[in-house]
Amino acid sequence: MMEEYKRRIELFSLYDHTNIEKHLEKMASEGWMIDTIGSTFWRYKKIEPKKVKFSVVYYPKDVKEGTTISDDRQNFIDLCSSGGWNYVINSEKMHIFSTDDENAPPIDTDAPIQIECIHKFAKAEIVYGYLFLIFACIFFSGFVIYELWKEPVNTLKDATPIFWLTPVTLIFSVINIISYLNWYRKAKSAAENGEFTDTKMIIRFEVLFWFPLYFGFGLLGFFSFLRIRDILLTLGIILSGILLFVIYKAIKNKILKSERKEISKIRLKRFAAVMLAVLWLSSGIGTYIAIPKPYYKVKVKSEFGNMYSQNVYLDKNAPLDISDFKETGNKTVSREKIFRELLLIKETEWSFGTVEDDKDNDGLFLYYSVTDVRFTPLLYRCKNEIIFNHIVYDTKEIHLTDKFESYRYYIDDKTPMNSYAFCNGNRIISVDFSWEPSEEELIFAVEELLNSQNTYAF
Amino acid sequence: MPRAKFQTLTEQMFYILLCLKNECCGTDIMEKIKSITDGRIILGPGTLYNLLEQFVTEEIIVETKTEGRRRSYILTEKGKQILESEYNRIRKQADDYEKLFREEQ
Repeated sequence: MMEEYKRRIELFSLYDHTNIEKHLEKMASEGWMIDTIGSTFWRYKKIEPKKVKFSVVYYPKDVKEGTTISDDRQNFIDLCSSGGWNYVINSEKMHIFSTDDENAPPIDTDAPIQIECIHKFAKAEIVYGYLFLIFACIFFSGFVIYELWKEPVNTLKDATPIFWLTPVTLIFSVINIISYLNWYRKAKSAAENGEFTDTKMIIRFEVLFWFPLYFGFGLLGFFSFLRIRDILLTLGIILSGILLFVIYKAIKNKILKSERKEISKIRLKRFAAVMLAVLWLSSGIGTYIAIPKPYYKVKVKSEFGNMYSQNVYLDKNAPLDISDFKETGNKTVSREKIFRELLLIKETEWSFGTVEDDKDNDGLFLYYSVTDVRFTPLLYRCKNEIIFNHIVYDTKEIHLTDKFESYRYYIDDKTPMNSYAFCNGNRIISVDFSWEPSEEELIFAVEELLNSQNTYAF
Repeated sequence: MPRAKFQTLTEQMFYILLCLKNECCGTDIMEKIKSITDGRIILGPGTLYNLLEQFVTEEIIVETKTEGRRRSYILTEKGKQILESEYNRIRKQADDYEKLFREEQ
């Protein structure tokens, strides 16, 4: 007979021995005995439902040997066994014992010693952990605020905003530390009179925020190159998967009540495996479709002299191409496009260059970026990042200022570059030419870019 | 501080030290206390483990032998003095009680 297990997310603070004991007793009465304890996921083993008494105690010495039970710790466990308590499991210093004897004497019979052990454990495992978390949250929040001020476009177009979740974590961490210290103060005072104090239920909500932080950071980093539509589509696929899983669990619970348990189990497992395969396949295909594919590869010589392979895309919808300005003849033109979109900003960068196989690449190039700021109060900061943080002068001489703001970048006060920036409404445009464009070429480029669609599509 | 803590003993500490007049292991201590006090004092194994560790650190008791994982302990001279001083303190309390009530009678 195969052993049956189930996992649950448990948000107990590990010093909360009172509620952990109650919870484990309830689980045992429902037929689930604690089997392993992780930081968030606890595993339970199926048993015959029975009334079991649990005791959560904190081993006073350092546990450095990981899961290996040292002689000292084994001595502690043996002593508890001789007091009628069976060792069940431990998570570092937290040890869980159980007994079927309702009248077994408690493991801790001296309140001050119990408080001392809990505090020693809590200091190492909880308080310092939360202090680190608080420090990390303050650091990351400060970092994001600084980056937002300095480079709003770079910060807002990729995954960094996920760190905005850190203040939430910060609030929960502070609440948890204060709750613990409050309990400790009361319990210590009561222990002086020989009284034991129950711990209060403090749920580690911050764990729920660390999950989005870990997974969201990775996912958003990936999705920041895609359209919001693609993100929603993928989220839809994930949610459908979760929904299917919930349906599967519901069907499983219902069918398992029937007599043909084993056959049903095998069928359900097959069904689940097929369902998962379909899900993975469809999300794989979706991802493959969503990511732009290289049109072809060319060998390019880098500035350091080594050859490398470059993906060359053919963007038919590019608002501007080198061929709009110059004759490229038989030369290969590489076209790269990077699109990033989050809620407040979307930006597309195009770069075009003529590529000559196995030769020095000193041909023509054209680079431009179109940035749309959806949140107007950010516009000035974005302009600062893209334009005013460089040496720029108004390009009054090309008579563009009547329609929109226009600037030319300079290497120093006297040396102009073939790089320009334009603003109209909430759109900021930056263009680099490898040649000195004529006024007509510039006006053509600006008008094309100001009216272009800033989208992901190729 | 542990030293200040052991200037007066709790009942549990007192009986542990009393049992360790003769060499004894942890399990025996629990049984002996139960027997001496007719079950009045209940000593939890976790508390016993902690107190034994603290007594050893403070050189109130000393580990005499280890058979497998079974460790035996015995009182040191310092331990005997602490126990005696606690006995005298309790005795003095009892004397004071009796003196006061006899005067009233």
